Amino acid sequence: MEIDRPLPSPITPEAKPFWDGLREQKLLLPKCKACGHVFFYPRAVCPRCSARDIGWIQASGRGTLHAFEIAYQVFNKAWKIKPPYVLAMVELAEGPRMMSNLVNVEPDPRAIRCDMPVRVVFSKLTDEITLPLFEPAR
Amino acid sequence: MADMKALRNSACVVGVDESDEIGTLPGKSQLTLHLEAVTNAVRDAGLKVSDVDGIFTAGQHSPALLGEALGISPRYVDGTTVGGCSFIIMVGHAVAALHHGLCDVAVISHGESGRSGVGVSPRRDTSLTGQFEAPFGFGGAPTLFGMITTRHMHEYGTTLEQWAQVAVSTRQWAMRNPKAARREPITVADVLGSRPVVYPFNLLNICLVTDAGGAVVLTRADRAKDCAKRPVYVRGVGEGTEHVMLTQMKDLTFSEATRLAGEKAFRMAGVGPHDFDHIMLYDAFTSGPPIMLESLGIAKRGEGVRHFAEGRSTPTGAASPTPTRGCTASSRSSRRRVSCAASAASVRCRARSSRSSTAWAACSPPQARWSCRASAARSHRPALDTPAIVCFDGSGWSSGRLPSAVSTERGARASWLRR
Ligand SMILES: [Zn+2]
Repeated sequence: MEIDRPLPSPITPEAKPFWDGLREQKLLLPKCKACGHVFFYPRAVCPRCSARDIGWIQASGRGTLHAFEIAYQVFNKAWKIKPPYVLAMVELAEGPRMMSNLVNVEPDPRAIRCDMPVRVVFSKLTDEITLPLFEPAR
Repeated sequence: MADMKALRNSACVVGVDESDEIGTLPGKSQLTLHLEAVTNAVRDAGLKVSDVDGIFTAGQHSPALLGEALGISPRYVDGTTVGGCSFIIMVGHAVAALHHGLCDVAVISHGESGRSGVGVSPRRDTSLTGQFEAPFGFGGAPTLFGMITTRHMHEYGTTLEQWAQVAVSTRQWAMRNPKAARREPITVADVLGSRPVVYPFNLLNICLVTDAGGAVVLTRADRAKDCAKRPVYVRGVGEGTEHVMLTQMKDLTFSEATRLAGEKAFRMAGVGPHDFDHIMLYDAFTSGPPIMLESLGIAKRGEGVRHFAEGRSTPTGAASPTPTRGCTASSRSSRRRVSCAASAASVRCRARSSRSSTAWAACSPPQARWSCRASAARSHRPALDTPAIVCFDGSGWSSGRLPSAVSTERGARASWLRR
């Protein structure tokens, strides 16, 4: 399969469980074992309480579209998908936000609104890399 | 505890200028842009390069390299590289360094071959953008500022027409600037009809990329009288930081870093957000200035765009009943690369749209024709009750760096500001 977008690089050790989880179609999020804070992006220290004991939880995959853009051109040389496409900031039900794409939707501002419910879809790029994308949810 | 108020008016901007040319300059390296700006600004101050003993710069060239290239050995260097606002933050750093005698003549320099890329290293993604943004097609500032903008539209009902008005206002300033890249008038319809780039932005909502250099010279107030021109006293400075990755911003429609920076600058200057005759805001994207006004407390949440409606922030609209009498985004190239900056006369130029890149520069007199009527009152003395200008470079705020603020006294260079 031709890879139509930049692969995540470099994958950092602290984020490896996130990428490993995606390969098994699981959206994992770091959770502080000391204070319970769920956060994203993965890092070695809890951004709320500074504890270093970080575990992982499986997210529901549900959330809302916090903000979006519709790209009419390519912003990255390795991007091969024909515009327009939807850039998304998703607020997960567990709290953290992540960047992604909104797919299975008309790339038209009239069809997309902030706070619309979304759910994760897993998009396998390679044997190593699966990306979490999102689609409108009912 | 030490209080920055003690440094109020302790240092002055005594020289400002740009590279010999700005625009599209395939024949000049990034380093050349720096060197032209520095030598021009030092000359503007009536000083020699050998007088410079403090070098401040951000980006790909270190302050040590600039010193070497200039043939001097500075006593003090500052290479704080935190995005587009680095150079305005450095005004505050220079004030502190001068106050403590770490240097006597400080130069803040920017050079960036943003358009032509001459003598520029390739940009490298960090592990965070490379993992969590690039795989989804994000790249560069337009794909980040747009998020803030659609969220603002959702929460406050702001419209594409209102954002477009910001570009229209800005262009009217550019029309008065001989060095501006685009000088033809534009309308809201022109903005809305320009090529879609990334919704909610069309081409005319987005900053222009140029090759440019700029520099500012500062010295202590007691030395300023030896300089060629009347000094502009630095009355207040502030900086703040909130986030780097956009997902980490607490509230997309409000820049906490800008609020922090403004609060500090206002406190040091002994003024409030409504005490300014004129405000300059970096306008990388049309949503930037309105949201900065809101974050500074100058406009109510969601109402920043009103300052740009109906020509209120155009050169002739300065008398409109806004809390401040004037408000511009960059007065230089309206698309947009060159933006407002520090002192009563400096203008920051950004050379690139990449969010990590940045630029700053001072302006030369012809550009700085702002609408500040009050600034026609000029004085050598920094004792006037109203600061002429506040400049905010919030270029970092959408994509995360540290915005900063500089408010300056209405100094003699306010003459530059007269229409
Ligand atoms: Zn914690």
